[in-house]
Amino acid sequence: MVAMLLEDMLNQLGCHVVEAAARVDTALKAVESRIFDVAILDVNLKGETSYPVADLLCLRNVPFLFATGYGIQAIPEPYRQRIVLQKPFRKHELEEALLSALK
Amino acid sequence: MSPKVPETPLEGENQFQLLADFVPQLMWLADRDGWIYWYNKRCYEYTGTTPEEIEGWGWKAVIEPEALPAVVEGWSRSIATGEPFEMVIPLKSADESFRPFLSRVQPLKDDDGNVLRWFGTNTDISEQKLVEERLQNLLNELNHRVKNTLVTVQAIASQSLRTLPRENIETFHDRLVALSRAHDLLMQTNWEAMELREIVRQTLAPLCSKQPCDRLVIDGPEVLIAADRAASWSMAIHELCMNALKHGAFKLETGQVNIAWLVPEEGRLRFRWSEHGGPPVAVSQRRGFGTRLIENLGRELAGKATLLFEPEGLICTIDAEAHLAPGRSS
Repeated sequence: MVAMLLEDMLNQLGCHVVEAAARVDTALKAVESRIFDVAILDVNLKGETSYPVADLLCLRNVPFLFATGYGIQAIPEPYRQRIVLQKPFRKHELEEALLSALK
Repeated sequence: MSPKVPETPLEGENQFQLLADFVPQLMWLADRDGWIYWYNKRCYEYTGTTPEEIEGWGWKAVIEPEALPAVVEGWSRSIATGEPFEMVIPLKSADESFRPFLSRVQPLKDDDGNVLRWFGTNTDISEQKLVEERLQNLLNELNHRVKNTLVTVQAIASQSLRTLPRENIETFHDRLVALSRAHDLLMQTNWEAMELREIVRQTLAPLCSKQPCDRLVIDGPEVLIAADRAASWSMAIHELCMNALKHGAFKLETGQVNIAWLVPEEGRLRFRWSEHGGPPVAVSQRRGFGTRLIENLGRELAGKATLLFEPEGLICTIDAEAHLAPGRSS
């Protein structure tokens, strides 16, 4: 449901969603196999954190941002410097976050 | 009544020596300059060191290196000022692992206030720290779940309200996000009291990011708002701001909003939101949700909220109960 909402917002912003991964391992595979401009990472994926995905994206120089229900203080230091979107968010906030990630 | 002494003292028993050695804390004594000249047995047992190794300032070797500068700074300050010392310090045990200790040091002073000795105890608080950590994790989990529930509500609404006018849906989303931001405020303070200025600032930040600062003036003393009321304040301020953006002072570039509060007497707070320079005010005949929410806030806060649609702009006053930040008033 949450992913669906995000997908709708992204479509409305004129983005094309190439993949929505619900688990860390599928996300890692998607990063390896897909071509895309930017990734949005939910910090908590079915009980796992998405930091390994963030590390891989960093390594490949692909821009990304976090979307989280945790407060920023619950995000460990190296990742805290990244763009963090607090859930729930509005479409225009998502747009701004995407634009600054792509800068 | 004199204190009861055990009937059969141990051979050669020195009550105080026994106390010092077997009390569960690490204890020590220092001279007026902070030079530690005596430790109890527990200190040597826990750290696995010899008296020569840790006497004076030798204890620095058993402090976690990262914590050491702050410990030395704090302890030096106490020695210089004669003030008691208190800090949580990770201490290295004989097996090389670190455990957190609550370190407390009291000075013994002569009649002129000069320090004669320092008495220190270190208490192992690793159990408490673990409990604290677990609580923090639980709190994080709770926040995460609350947020995800709100996102789910947002998703359901998006699907179910598609046929409604766009503006209504937008307002719904705005309010839902405002409620969530109010929740963020509580999260930041671990559900404890929060400063009114912070509530105002953080509620307005996402809405007014494009407004030049001179269009919004915030002025008032430090006032703490209890956690259970912070969300109501945040929602009320959100409604006022949304109203200003849609119909009031923030609609025109000439418009300005003044937010001011004062403490007319202890425990009371008078909050005032006033707009000017906006479009001419038309009194809304319909009492909208925003108006009701604000009026209701007044009641919730054991006070009263009034909305005045003056020709030059809306004025909202909220009289409420409040706690002043300790040690500050103005």
